[in-house]
Amino acid sequence: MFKKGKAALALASTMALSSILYGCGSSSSDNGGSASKDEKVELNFIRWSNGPALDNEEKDKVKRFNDSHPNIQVKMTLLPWDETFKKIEMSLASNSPVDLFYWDVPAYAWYKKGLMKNLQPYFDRDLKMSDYDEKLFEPFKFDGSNMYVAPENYQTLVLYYNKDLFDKAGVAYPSENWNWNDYLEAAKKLTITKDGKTTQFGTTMSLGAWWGWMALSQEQGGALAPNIHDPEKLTFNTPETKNALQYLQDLIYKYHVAPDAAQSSALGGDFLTGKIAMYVGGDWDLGNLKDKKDLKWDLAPMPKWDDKRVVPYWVGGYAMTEKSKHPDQAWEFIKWTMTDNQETLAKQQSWIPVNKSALAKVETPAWAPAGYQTARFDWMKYGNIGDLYHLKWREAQDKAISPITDQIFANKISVDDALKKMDEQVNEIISKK
Amino acid sequence: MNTKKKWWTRSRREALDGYVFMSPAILGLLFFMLGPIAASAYFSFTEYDILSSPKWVGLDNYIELFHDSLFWQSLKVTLTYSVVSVPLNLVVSLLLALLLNKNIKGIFVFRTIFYLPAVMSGVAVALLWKWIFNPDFGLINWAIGLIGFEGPKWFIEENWALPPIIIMGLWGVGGSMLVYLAGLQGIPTDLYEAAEIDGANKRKQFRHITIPMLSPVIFFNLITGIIGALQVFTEGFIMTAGGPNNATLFSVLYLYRNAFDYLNMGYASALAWVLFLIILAFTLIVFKSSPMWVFYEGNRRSAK
Repeated sequence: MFKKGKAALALASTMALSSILYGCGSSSSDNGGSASKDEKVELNFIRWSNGPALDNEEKDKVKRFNDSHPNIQVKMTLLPWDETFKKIEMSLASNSPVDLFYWDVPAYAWYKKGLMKNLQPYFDRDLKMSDYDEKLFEPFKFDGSNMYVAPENYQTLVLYYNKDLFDKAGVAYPSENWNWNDYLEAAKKLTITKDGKTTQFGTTMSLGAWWGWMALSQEQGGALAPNIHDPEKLTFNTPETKNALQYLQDLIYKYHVAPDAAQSSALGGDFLTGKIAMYVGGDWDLGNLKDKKDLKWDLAPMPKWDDKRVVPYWVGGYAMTEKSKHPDQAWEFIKWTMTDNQETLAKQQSWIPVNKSALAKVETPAWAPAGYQTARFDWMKYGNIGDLYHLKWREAQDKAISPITDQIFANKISVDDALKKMDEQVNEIISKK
Repeated sequence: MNTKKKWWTRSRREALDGYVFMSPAILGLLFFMLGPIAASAYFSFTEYDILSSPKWVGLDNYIELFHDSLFWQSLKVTLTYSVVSVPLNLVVSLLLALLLNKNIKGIFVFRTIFYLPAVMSGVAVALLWKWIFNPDFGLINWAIGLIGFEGPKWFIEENWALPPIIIMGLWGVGGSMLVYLAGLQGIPTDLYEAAEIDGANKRKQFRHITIPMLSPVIFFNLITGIIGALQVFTEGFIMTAGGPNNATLFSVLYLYRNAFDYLNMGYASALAWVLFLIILAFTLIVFKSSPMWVFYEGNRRSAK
């Protein structure tokens, strides 16, 4: 019996050991050695998936590039967002990393480790910068003077509203001149309560994530730090950020015009099913809306704070790894997405193209409602990057910002206390090591 | 010839058979796991972000763990989950096995149905249960509403985030149920017949025959249950992302985040070893206690 027990113990401990310590193994792909000029070069490219419709556009993009460039073969791997960064990281740790990847904020860590290629020499050589709004590219000069990401498209925030619900409540449609007070007043009139249960909400908590409430803070002139690259200290406890979070918390608990977490999960598709009258959200939601024939919706620019408007924008684009064996070919692909393909991108209307002349050539699509042009494109005048780049940013979000924000929107903590806590915890995290 | 015959005894042959059967696991361990295990032991004493080479920091990672409130939070969550879910799973799967051990027509259909959930993918199941527990239109709260109460805000209230994960864990009892079932069928029927002649009722038979005869199986299920519970990950990863306010931040989820989201592979390795030692400790305790309650057939010890 003792023997049996011992063998079983060994087995059990091995089970425990191997699955914890080994569970996260992964390997990277190898794309072979370098090739001469005429040989066909294969480029490994990883990007994250945005669902079937947008993924098809990406696949089509890569196919068109490969067809028009017989010597270059881009091999794209689509992965879930989280998986993407894990996979690229593993490949960077190996000696033959992927050549290209689609940028997002966590990749800033790789820049800090010297693993991202400086693209400025290529920019200088091949691109006509007057075609682009260079000011909007500034955040991607990570070292202050060199571009490390090649922007392909922009994303921004717009105000979506359901015209039928506005008509029914007799409320005037949102205008360009709306501020957040107008928004709140309209939301009150658009909220319908029956037998103590709210059946229709004026708005929703679409700005509950940090980039949402920081957008409100930015409109008042607020900022987390004077510079968005490697700030040494972040300040959450400012009057602007406090106003922003208080405004959002009040939407739920003071004015009852927005659902709390439990209620919003119940509304399901909310805006799409006509249970939410309006919300401010990413223009990436247009993909779901453009085919929605039974919903009368329109767009307006994001409301002002008092009389000032600042709209956040984000950039989608490509980056190259420092150790890529085929940097020139990889640049060919990047250049093509920033030039030749921009008109197609503009026609597809899924993303806002960065190339001004391509944008100018393309007409408003048939499905677009009246407010489309202004709401989606006017932000460039007052756009402000909605990102922050710091090695520890993701950790700070996970460990401090998200949990504390959860508590604010569950009404478990006052905004004052929350921001004090956030200041303390986030700075402890970002100052470590 | 003669000597060889003597050397090649039956027990040696049986031993060889045993090793052959174990060989896939042993080879897998040697070739695929030993290296990474050793590497993680080394990394746990370094500061390592995967991207640059590791820097030796001695015990720093381990010391930091003790001051990390999220580590303690994750341990609390994991232990709470385990303490409730392991016994619950043991009892429920045993009860199911007893029911499915009845000799009635079509019992195979039921056995299959009850086992089926155990082979389904964890992610799909997690998403399914998220709907079932949806506070407003989920099946559970609808049922609670029928009897006139208002269901809790599952997953949204901090205190109600862990219970649904424990409950949905029961969905996977099929595996241990099957092991119990095999154990139950291995109990010789003459024991029950003899007991019946001696006048023992069903409950006494269960208490004095079924349980002792089944104790090795219970033991096995307890050990694998503890190991599995302390490593729970998918539910927290898929359903709640560790929230709300870290109420479902399981240790392995925290480990995963450190390794892949925060680029702290060294710290994550230290966490893995601490978790391993905890699991080892629990396993050892259960093993040490086993002579008191585990009865192996052929062993002359009584169950008491």
